[in-house]
Amino acid sequence: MNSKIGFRLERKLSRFDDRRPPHIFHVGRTSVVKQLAACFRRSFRTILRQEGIFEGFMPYLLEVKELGKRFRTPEGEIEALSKLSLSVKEGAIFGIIGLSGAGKSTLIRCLTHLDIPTSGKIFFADEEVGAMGKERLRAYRKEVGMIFQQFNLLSSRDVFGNVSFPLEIAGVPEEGRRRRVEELLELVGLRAKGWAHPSQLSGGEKQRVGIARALANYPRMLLSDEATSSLDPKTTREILSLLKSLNHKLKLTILLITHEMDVVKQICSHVAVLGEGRVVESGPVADLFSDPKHPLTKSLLLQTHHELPSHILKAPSEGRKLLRLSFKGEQAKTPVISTMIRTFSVEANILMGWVDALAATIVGTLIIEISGESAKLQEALEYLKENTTHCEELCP
Amino acid sequence: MPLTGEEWRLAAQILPDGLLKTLYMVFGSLFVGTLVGLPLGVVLTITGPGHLKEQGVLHKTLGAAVNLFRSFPFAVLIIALIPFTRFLIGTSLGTTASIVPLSVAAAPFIARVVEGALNEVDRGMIDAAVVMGSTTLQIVSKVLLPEALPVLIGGMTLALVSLIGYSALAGLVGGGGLGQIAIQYGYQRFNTFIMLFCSCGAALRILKGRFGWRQRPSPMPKCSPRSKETSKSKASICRSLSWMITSFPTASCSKKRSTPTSSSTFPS
Repeated sequence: MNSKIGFRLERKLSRFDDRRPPHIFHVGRTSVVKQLAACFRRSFRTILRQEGIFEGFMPYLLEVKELGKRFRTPEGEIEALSKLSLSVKEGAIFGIIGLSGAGKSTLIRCLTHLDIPTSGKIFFADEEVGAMGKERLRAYRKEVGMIFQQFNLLSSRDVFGNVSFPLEIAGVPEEGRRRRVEELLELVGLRAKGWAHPSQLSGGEKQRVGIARALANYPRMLLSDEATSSLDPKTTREILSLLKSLNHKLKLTILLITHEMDVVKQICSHVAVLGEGRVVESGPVADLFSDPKHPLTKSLLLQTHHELPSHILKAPSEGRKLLRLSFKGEQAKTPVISTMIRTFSVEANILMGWVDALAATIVGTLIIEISGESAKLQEALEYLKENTTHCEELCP
Repeated sequence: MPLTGEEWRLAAQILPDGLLKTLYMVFGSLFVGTLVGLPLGVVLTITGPGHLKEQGVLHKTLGAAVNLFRSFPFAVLIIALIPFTRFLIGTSLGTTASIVPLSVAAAPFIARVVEGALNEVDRGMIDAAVVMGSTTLQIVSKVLLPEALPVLIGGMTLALVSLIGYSALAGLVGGGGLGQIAIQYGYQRFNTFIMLFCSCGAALRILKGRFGWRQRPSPMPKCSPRSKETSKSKASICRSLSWMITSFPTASCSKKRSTPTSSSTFPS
């Protein structure tokens, strides 16, 4: 290894040490050797990530395999989750979306072992969560921050005390706590409110405190349980952009649970749609938006869009077809519709159109009506299916 | 009715002594009762269904024991505990000895008060603390107790008032205190002056309520940038404490006043 690379490695390691202060060595009674090994593993991963090497081979930070959870109630057994599998890559913002009752909250409670799953396995950084001992489980929970819909701040403490709470639990000495809390409050933009009490804060500010508190022990993953659901749209946007910047700045993996497609649209890179305790569809957000397959995904997508007036949706007359077209990224640049009109001599009428700016890309959607001879129409339909990301007849 | 010098002398002799003895008994047993009742209440809470350390059998056993001790009439409890008291203190008579049955009566009461207060704490906060990787002890000491503190103080006031009521019966075993004085001098010797003292106490209590001779709710205190305690609960604690202290002698007297009229059946 030449000296230049050696120097760079050393610099990375030292920067890494700055990021994680020595107090993490005092967590629990795990042996020093194990902690050193974990530290090296982490720093190795950090370097890999920063250099962008082996991007494709990056291990999953969180893997859920065939997770099942049953609740026993007086009325009988309820299956909240059944054979749910998903994998979250390190550094991703992963959204889990579903209607209420789909098992989102149960899932997040299982991930932190607040509820113990009845079947299946959860792996965090290749370590099975279910097999962890008490001590290790606590250490794991320190590596996973969590924010809540109801904020769950301690009303007996001020903002400063709330943020320093996880540090107290981790056994950080007074001086280190004070420094870290100030750093965190700066990070979430609440420096001036350290002395305020939760009851004196607005919803958005409370959630910022929650985020600062969740980040206190340098977690690798942040779980967000409907964190923006009780906030107004503007505050939601602010909190989401804060999360996004944290993801960028700290390389923080975020697992976000929500019932609002807007949230997913704004910050998520990947999304899984949850229905009746299982993942019905998952993938990169842009794919899901441009080419939704499962009816549940389609209905969730409709939430965000303007509803079509019902009289338009009424079955079009003979020789007309109502289509919904999606374009993703580069496809948006080709003049698909005018080419179609010229080539197949059909009429096209654009009824509605919108553009979704997703975290990674842009997805355009058009609702058009085409009319002409039925043979030509069929050809045009074939052409559209080939040249758009997604083409669907709305009422065949 | 004019007061004779003898009556004045008698009152000056016995009343301060009685007051001190009552204070000693009540606060002594409150202290011991809290020492036992607080951990008991915490255990009752966290072993409850769906709580931190769910332990159905332990929870039910403790709950049954607490209910059993709470349902004992206090006079019976004093007599029943005589061997136990003798074993602990060496004698079953006197002020110190009467602290034992008082504490035994107070502990389950306080345990229930603590359980009620801790169950009021939002489960979400407990979940949040669990997710942060805290141990059960940390959750109890840093979340449950501080969050429940205002309710706890209120409950303690309740325990104090009922202890004052119980302490009147300490006269049964020569415990002394205002209760015994009220029975001996007020009821058995028809000493009106002693009764008067008690009525004055009751009157003071009423006046206090009517003319607002009580600490007014203070305006929101200014928070210093580094204040560790909460300003809100601090104020409420101050209020509760001041209520506890100011209500103490008067409450005790108004309780005692009822004893002569129905002394054949002791309260509880």
